[in-house]
Amino acid sequence: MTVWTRQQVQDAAPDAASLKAAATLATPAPWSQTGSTEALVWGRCQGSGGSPYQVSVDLHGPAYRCSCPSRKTPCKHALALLLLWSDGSLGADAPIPEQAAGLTAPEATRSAPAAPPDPEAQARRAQQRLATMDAGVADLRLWLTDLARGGLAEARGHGGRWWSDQAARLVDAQTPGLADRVRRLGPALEARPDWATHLLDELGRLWTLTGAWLRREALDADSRADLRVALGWPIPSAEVLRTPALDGTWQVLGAHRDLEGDYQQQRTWYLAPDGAVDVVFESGGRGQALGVPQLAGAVVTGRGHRYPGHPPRRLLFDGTPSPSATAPAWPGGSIAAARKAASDALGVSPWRDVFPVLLTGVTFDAGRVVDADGDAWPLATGTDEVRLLALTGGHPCTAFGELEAGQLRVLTLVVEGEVIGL
Amino acid sequence: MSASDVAGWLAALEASALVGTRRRPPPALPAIGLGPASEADPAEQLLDQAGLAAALRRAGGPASRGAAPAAAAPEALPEAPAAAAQLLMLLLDQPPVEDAARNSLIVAWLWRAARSGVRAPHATLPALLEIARGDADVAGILPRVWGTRGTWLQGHVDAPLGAPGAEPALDRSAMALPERVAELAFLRRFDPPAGLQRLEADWDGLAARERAGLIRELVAGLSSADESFLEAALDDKAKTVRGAAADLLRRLPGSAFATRMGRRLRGALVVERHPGAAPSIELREPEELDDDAARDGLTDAAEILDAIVAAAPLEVWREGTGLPIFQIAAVVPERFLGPLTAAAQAQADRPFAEALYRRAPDDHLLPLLSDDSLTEAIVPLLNPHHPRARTAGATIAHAPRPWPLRLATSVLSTLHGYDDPLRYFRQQVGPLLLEGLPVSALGAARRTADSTFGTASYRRSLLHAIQHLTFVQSIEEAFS
Repeated sequence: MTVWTRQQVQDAAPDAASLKAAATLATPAPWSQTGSTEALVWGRCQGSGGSPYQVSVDLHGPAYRCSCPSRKTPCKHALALLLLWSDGSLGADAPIPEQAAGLTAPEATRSAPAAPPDPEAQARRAQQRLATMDAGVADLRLWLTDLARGGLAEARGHGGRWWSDQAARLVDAQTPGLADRVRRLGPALEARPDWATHLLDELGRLWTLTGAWLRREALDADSRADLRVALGWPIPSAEVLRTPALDGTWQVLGAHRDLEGDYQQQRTWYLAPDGAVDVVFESGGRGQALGVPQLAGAVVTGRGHRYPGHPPRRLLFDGTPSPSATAPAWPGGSIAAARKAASDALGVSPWRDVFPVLLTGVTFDAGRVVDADGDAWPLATGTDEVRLLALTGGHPCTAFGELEAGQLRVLTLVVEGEVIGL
Repeated sequence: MSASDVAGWLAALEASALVGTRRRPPPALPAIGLGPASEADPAEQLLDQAGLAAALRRAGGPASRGAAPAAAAPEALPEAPAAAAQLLMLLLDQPPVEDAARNSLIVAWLWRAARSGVRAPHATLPALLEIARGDADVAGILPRVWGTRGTWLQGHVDAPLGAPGAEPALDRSAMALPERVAELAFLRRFDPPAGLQRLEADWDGLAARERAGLIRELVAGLSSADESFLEAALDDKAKTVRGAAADLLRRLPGSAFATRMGRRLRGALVVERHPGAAPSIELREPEELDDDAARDGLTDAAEILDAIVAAAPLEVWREGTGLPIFQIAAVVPERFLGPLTAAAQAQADRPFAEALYRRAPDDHLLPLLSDDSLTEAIVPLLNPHHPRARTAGATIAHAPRPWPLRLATSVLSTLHGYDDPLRYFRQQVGPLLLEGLPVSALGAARRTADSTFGTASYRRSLLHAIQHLTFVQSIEEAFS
């Protein structure tokens, strides 16, 4: 079948809004595994959801299929796919996005404010916020000691409201980071067989975190920045962009999306030009679109700024990084070395949840990742181990993942030179 | 300080935490060189210790040990071409066809891959294995294209394919009949000797009803390897079991049972030749039955000849009459047409089936006809003036699918009419289109869809069939 003209694609659109939405998606960035035959055009489009939408168009008919929830036929994904096909940009793998949407925080892309902010008013607002936060933290510590006196078993008997009420108080106290930690406790009590150990650990971590906050004046600037972020007071990107820049090529190691609950998060891990591992962190409410995820193994050239704090550090790109032809490198190590690095980071910020881990020569077996030395880590709950086995066949491979609570969540595999994002 | 000190402390800490410091104070902290002051409020002490414990559990603690599994052998087959692999992933993740049709497309993909001598991509194996567990057609072809990785993966999944037969259940005597039937049917499909072995092992402990129910399952993968078991079953106490065994043995024209029946047929056949006219065939009732007759099920005097005809090898007719097949079919007495048709079916004998169909069109013979004969048998019925036009739809339902191209295009042009001249035809044939239309009929199907009026359900069937064929065609393209 001859390739459709742009006009034909436009004629297929159910309305102007769909076409407009499709036009923004008609770049190679969110697309993977695209292809076409005489009768069929297909591809995967990464939407805001966890797994990409599967799109296919049967050209005779024509019949449109897409796994997105849209009721429009064809939906914007199908139209975007046809636009790409019509432009002749289909089929070629497009691991490097042209538009790295979502990499840049909104504040950073905005032009500079017309008038400089009033420094005095700013300081006053900061003082007010600190006072609110301090009060919230003190209230949380009282709540924690009450809980410790009554016992975990008694706490477990409280309904879900009891936890969410405390979380709501922490939101009021402008400490959403703490609120999020408390909110997650309630459901975990029902779901986890090891609920008592888990709850005790989490309470201990909250206690350490809040204790450190109250002593923040005695801590160094990086630790104070870590604390501020952990409590949920984001550092404005304008401020971050004033920190020293790091120019060079950045390689996407892997990405994790957490879409559970009312709060979505996306972490994209980069191997920085200086060999450190940094993370671009995005979050939003339910239904809010996160940035287009980067494909593991992509290499971009750009200017990055690191947020203050201890490594692994949060990253902000100044502008849109451009695709680079540099081949990705995977300088992984052993489990023992990664464990040491994670322990060191934990020694500095004991409330840290997630550590990036790049391992070489590992295999998977019986729910564990095993390296050449015979050291092992359990795989994160919910890991599709059969998939890992199918992809690796028991041969040593390179794996990138996140270490969280002693378990490894594998995000990327490198098998015989092929990079596979999971 | 030893690891057991820490473990003891962690256990004591959790015990205090569970009941609360009001009831049980926190334990003493082991000497690990750091730690909070102990004179604080007990609740605060407990929380201090909990913070320490959390950090220890995350950062410290002995690493667990493991060993790499034995790795999969290198692949001997190349991977399917990229476009074909993408189509398979599309089918697995978000099929562009109705769900019911998806598995048949997966099967089509797998067969096409087998034909090309390539294998499924490693990433698709988990989903394929999952589907194969519930779909015998997928399970049947998958091992041919899963490569060494698939074989290896089988050893690493909780429920490998073929699990029903892999390990005998601990207490087989407690298994219900449907469970046993499912197990045996599965085994017979993929490993007929193993199925027979399982049945033989269980046989003596089974009730008559179970024996009869299970022995019928040997029909899948039936071969001469099953003969001695079936022959022995002719001595079973239960009539239902004996009948089922005889029914299977007549499908094996080389079996001793069929040979005995052939000998009896030979004795009964009488051919009379009439100069200038067609010969005639008669069958005479045997004057006395041989010793094995009762054991072979020949007990009802009125039906002895029918039973012999239905079970004797067809070769005996050729040898015994010296007549060509078309003539045998033309002159065999009418009352034996039914048993002879049954014999042709059981022995899957195409020449006999075609000759018998010309004599008396029995729909059950359609699966045995050649493409040309099948087309010639059905196309005339599509004429509204044909005396059997009313039943054309029912007849087509018996034809093997996909149909030969000429039959398919004739069906499509019949569907093309405005007024459904054959009444009910669309209703009967619509659901068959998906499997009935061959890929080569795709163009004709599209033209029909463009210009056909009809009920919504019929149009839907036609469009689904077209969608399906389009995908099959895409698979074909992607592999070539």
